[in-house]
Amino acid sequence: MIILPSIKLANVSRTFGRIKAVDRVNLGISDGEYVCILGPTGAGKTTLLRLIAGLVAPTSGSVELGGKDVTNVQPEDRNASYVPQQYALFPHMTVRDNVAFGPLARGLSPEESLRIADKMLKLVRLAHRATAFPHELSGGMQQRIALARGLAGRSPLLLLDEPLGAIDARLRVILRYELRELTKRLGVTVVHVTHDQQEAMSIADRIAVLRDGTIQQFGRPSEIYEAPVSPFLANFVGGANFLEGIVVREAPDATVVDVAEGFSITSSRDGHGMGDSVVTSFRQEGTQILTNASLEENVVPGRLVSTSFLGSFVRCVVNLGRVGDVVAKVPVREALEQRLPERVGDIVYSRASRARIMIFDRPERPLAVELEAF
Amino acid sequence: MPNVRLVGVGKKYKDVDALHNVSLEIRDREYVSIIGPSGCGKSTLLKCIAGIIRQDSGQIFIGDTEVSALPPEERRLGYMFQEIALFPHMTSWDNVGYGPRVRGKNTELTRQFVAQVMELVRLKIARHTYPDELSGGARQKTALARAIAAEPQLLLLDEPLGALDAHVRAVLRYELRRLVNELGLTAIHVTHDQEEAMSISDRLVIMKAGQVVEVGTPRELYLSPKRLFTANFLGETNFIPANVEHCDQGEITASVKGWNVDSQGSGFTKGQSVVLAVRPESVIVTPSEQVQQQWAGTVEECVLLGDCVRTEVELDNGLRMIAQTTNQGTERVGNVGERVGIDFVKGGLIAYQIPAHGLDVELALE
Repeated sequence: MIILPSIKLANVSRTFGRIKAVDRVNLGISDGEYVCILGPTGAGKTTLLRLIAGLVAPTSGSVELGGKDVTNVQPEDRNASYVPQQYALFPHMTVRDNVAFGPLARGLSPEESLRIADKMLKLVRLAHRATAFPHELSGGMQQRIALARGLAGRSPLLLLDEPLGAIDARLRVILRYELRELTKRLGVTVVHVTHDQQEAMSIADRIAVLRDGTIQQFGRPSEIYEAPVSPFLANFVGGANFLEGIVVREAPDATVVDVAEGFSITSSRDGHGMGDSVVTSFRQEGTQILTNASLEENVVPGRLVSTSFLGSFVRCVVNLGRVGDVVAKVPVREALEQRLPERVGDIVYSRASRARIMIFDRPERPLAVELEAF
Repeated sequence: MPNVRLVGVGKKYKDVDALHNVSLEIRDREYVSIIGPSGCGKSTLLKCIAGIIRQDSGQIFIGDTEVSALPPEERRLGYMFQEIALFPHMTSWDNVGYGPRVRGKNTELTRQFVAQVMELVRLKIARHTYPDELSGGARQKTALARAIAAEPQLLLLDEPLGALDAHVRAVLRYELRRLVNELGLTAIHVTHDQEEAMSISDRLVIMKAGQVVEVGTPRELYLSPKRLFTANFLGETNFIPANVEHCDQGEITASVKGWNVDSQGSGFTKGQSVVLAVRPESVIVTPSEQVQQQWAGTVEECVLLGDCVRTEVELDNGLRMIAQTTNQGTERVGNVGERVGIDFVKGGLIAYQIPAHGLDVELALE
């Protein structure tokens, strides 16, 4: 059976006992696309991936690959390569033999299998370690070998569960760009599970954000980031400030929300009416800190509580009194020019432009619970 | 007072130097993170301080006491591992109360004390809850509460947030720092995550291959590292091979494949080969209509990372440059294929001597 690597999940659910790991998921992934499944621990990401691989059967719903219903097709007949989080390399085999194992098992000749292994090792830049044994290599290298082994299966669909999970933060950042380039060059379709939002943003054509077994939003990284559909999404992908309030004025390009007595926020986004209970939200890097200001729109005085150095940004926490804290990420050079680390304890002004203020319906559950990703 | 002093500490595994002549001073109530690529010896160093691993050579002092030969329980420290080792058959509260009970506190005193510690770590869980019923974040907090309940002066943390999702990690690290401040502890924190280390530490110790590479505040090490390894390890950096054309009091003009650029740098001579290092956020991408300078090229890739936009530019002289700009939420310069110019933030470039063992070896992360 020849399968084109597009994926369609129709109303797929999977329960384990009383737990709904995956709950009525609909998802369409195109040929050659790189999709990340992003979500907190326990959201059902791995189960979703294993449903596509055929390692878990759906309780209900159907799985299509390349336009064919494969719901009842065995994993080995799905022409998909699944690389689990706990990749088990054979410890007694060299790196090269580990990678050649798949092709050999599929019945290719030893010469052909080794030729494929060498090619894949070259792709993951580990050709020079072909004769080493797994335990002689770093975690990052082992993970790349697992990837090479996945690629050696020559299947057009690659299913990766936290493929960069065991790797140090700095190397992860380098490898994610390599992973994307490599899979694009090979033209394979990739589904990649991760809990790291920046990894997903940097690597995916589209991101599906999963929570409690359901897809919260599916879209391009810029859509997810600039137009999240809920406070949870805004918080989980990128982080943001949230202030609850009531809409008190509504004009075409200005929705005014009272968040406390004498304290209102103006947003250029519409869609909410007078009297609505809402949550306003603005990104940390979209929040400026001014050391002196006139009290114009969306400028609020507060006390600078703390600063911490993040590298390219300085994170500033400003206490706005009863309303709570607001976090601003200020580009490092700006922050140092303004001498913000030395101003802790001082009164400063935080500001966000109206175009960057998002407004959400107030969630049914308390905001803190809505935002929770633990 | 729990300052910590290491003098010439060494440890060998077979023939490999896990630690080589490490000397270090950590002040009372300081929060220090030890960071470096996997296998650099950071965990071994922490375990030597804890007394779990005995060093082959050198001395370790906690306060005025030499502890080099003392067993862990006599070092008055709290230790929290990456692998959370809570007793599964005990409730979370009993886990936290274990140390105080063993030290002789009665039931009522232990209960009050645990309540205080739980409040400190802001963990609100029912008393009869077992560890396996908790989320990863709550388990981690329980482990932290247990370490604190030992009433240590010195807290040793080995990847304390390692088992958590990226999002939760980034929240809990500030709570961890707040707690250490409130209790007035000295803390030594091992992590592979540079942003985590920079965000909460007074100082960082950068390690590589069993040795200390550099020690300094996050700001010093990020903005003006002495070593190229540090520049690379603490975040993305562009490294540009160049030749010194002119040097004058801390400033140089360097030639990069025929193009000139100004950089910080001293102690160089005309004609010398150097490496220029510049952070992506110090690279400015300008729209094509403003391209007058030599530094022009074509956008190869442009990715929104969330708080910032990362742009890769293939320059006309063959160099590849990464620029990072804060996400302004508006139209951005630099769509793929677009012609753009490159400029640098003043003071953003630093010149380094080419390392004797070669640039690749210096920068290697594994």
